[in-house]
Amino acid sequence: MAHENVFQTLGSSARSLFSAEQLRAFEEAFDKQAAYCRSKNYSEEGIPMFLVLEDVSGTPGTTPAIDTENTAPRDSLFDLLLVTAVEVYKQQLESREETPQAEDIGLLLEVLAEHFFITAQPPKLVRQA
Amino acid sequence: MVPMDESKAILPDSWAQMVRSLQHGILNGSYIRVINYHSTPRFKLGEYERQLEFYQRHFSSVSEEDLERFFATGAWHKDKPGLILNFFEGYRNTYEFAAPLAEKYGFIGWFFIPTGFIDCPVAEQHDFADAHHLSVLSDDYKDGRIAMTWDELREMSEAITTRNDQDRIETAGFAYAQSSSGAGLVHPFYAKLFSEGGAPYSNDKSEALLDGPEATSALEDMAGLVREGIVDLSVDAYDFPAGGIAMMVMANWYESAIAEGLGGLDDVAVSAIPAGDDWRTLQYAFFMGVDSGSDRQEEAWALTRHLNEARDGEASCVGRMLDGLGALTASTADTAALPAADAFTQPFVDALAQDRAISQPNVMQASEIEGLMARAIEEVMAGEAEPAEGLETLDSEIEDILAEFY
Amino acid sequence: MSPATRAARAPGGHGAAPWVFLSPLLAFAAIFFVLPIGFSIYLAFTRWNPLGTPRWVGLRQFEYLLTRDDQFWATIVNTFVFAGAFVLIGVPVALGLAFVFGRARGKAVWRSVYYLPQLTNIVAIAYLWQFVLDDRYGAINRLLGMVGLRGPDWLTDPAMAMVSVVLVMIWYEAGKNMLVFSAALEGVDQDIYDAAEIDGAGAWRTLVSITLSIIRPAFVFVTITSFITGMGFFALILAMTEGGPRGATEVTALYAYRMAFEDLRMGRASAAALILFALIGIIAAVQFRLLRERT
Repeated sequence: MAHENVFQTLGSSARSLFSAEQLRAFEEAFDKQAAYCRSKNYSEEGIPMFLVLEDVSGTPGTTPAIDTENTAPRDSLFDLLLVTAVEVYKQQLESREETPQAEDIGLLLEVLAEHFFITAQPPKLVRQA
Repeated sequence: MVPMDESKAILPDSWAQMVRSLQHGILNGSYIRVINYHSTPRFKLGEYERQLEFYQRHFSSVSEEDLERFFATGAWHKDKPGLILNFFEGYRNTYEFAAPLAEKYGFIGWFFIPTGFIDCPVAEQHDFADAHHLSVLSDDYKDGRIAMTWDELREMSEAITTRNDQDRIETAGFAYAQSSSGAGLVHPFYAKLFSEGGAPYSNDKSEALLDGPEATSALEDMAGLVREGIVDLSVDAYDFPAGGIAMMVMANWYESAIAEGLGGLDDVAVSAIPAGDDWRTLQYAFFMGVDSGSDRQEEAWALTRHLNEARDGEASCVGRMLDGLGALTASTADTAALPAADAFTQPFVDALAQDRAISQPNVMQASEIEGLMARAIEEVMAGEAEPAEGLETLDSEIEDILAEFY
Repeated sequence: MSPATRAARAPGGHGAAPWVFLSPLLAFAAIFFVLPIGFSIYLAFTRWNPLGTPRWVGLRQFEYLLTRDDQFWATIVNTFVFAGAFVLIGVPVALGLAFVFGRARGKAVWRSVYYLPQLTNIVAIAYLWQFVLDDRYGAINRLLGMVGLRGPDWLTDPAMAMVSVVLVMIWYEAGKNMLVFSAALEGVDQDIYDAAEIDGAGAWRTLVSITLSIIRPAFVFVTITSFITGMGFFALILAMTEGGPRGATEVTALYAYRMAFEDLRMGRASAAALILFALIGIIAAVQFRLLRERT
């Protein structure tokens, strides 16, 4: 998988924070988690999921205004980690399936949730030369 | 960028677009965590409690106001990330177990109820669940919410099974009875065979039909339990009255032993063998007869009558003996004289009334044949033979015996 | 010597007297030995469900057992394994016990203790050992569990089940054989041991060349009777494992018993018993010849 694609898409901020090793780790995690997700007993287990606010009015890139005074500081590094993982998974799915359909978002989110949901602390991000 | 058509739903119609807007949302921290529960059966309670303990440490509860604020500002305002606990489908066990648990750990639970399900009369709830793809799983409720499929029986068994330090089963989820006649394996096999629409012999008894697909399927189900480590062949279902075994296939005459061992029947539920909508079960009976070659036939008949005839509105000797065990009598006079079937026995009576109880076949050398069947079944279950092969060999062995008489 | 003289010198005198005194034993033998065996031999050539009458079928039952019944051969193998293990382990064990307790104090007590199983009902013994050897709750596996070991599946694993019944059988018969050996050992003159010691013979040499040679008749007796017992004994196995798991401990005698009383095939069961009898007879005779050769 071309890690360059990921870095290109996400921009310089990603490149300065993650290594190719990191991305490879996400790739491997995806397969494992996807297999696990498919074997889950949905009726009796608690299924983790992320609920994400998106603006779907047709103009990607616009986000809800953030009220910086009344919001708690958030962990933007963790957010970047999530976004990078999503990019990796997206490109992985694209290299596998014909053309991923809208429903495939479900699997992507599920894997994301399985892998990053119960992360008590964000993993240390180390840049490797 | 693809222009949006007004008549379409307001969702991005391309995969790439969806991922992009997802990423924007995440990048802005505009996401909240959710755990979706459905059924929360009692036997998983320990697990759920551990999970909730963990959540309490790392996440905060989400109220309706919190969620509204999150939608409005696009950001989460509390110290710990928010976690919404969802409980779908409105199962009885979510009220009984999940709600108190959520309250205990300080979480607000979000319950999504299909009102049609709740409003449905209890007797029709199974059908409703089926029709609406709601998986109904087994709880220890005595009002009839019971395991519906063989797969659910497997799941439950697995969940209930506990092992000791030497990895031996201490509490068995499911066990088969070890009977010297082999009935402990053969009778459940018959029930499953009948449920699949199969039969052990041809009508004229000249052929055995155990190499057919119904028999193979029935045996594979039984073997699967052992193969996956759910059932341990060394656990004897006859030890059920000692506790330590959750489920078994057993005849009604064991009622008295169970009641004696467990000190009552309050913790025992009786249901049909989970074998689908067309389930069938096995019935067998004992009879008393007089040897036609005997030179004391009159006396023998007199004794037989003495034992089996009801007298003065009271049940016969044999009838009373059977009733004491928990067995049923075929004598209508006895049935009239004995008290009505108790909760334990009623499902058996229902099976008979609904014509779902198929008679054990009456063939020559039946005892020998069923001994062979038990052996073949056990070998397959122990993994020493494949179902199809084992049944083929068994089938020809039985046909050799049948050929002597039919 | 003339026939008359010979007869006059015969034990018990001549005339009808000897026969009168022997008649109870002869009657007993006839009723409980000759007649039943004769009937059994007859049955081996018939087909008989006890609810009807026997029907002559000639050698058909033998043909079935020897050529078309795989299970029969499997039971023959099991029988040899059982008897073989019982003899090869049980006889030395009994001899060893006889040795050890021959010089011990209170040997009468020890002999009684070891003989007790023989006085106990075999079914009670079987049930007792079933309890002791249970996978989960048996005394042995519980004890092993306390030190963190997982004991074997004594009665539920096919191979271990055979080991278990052999061990229990050895335990059961140890006392009886030990008594025979004890008696034989006591018959050995102490002087011979002293002489051997003077000549510089070590313990092992003494055992092999002197003791065993002198107690040879007892050794022959114990070995052959143990073999015969092992080949035909099935009550213990019936009560302990019922031939299981899955026929792993099914010996021919048990197979014949079930054939007769569970499957109601008296004819075939008699044939099986006859085959087993022939096997035992031949091998016992061979053993006897071999072991007695050098006397």
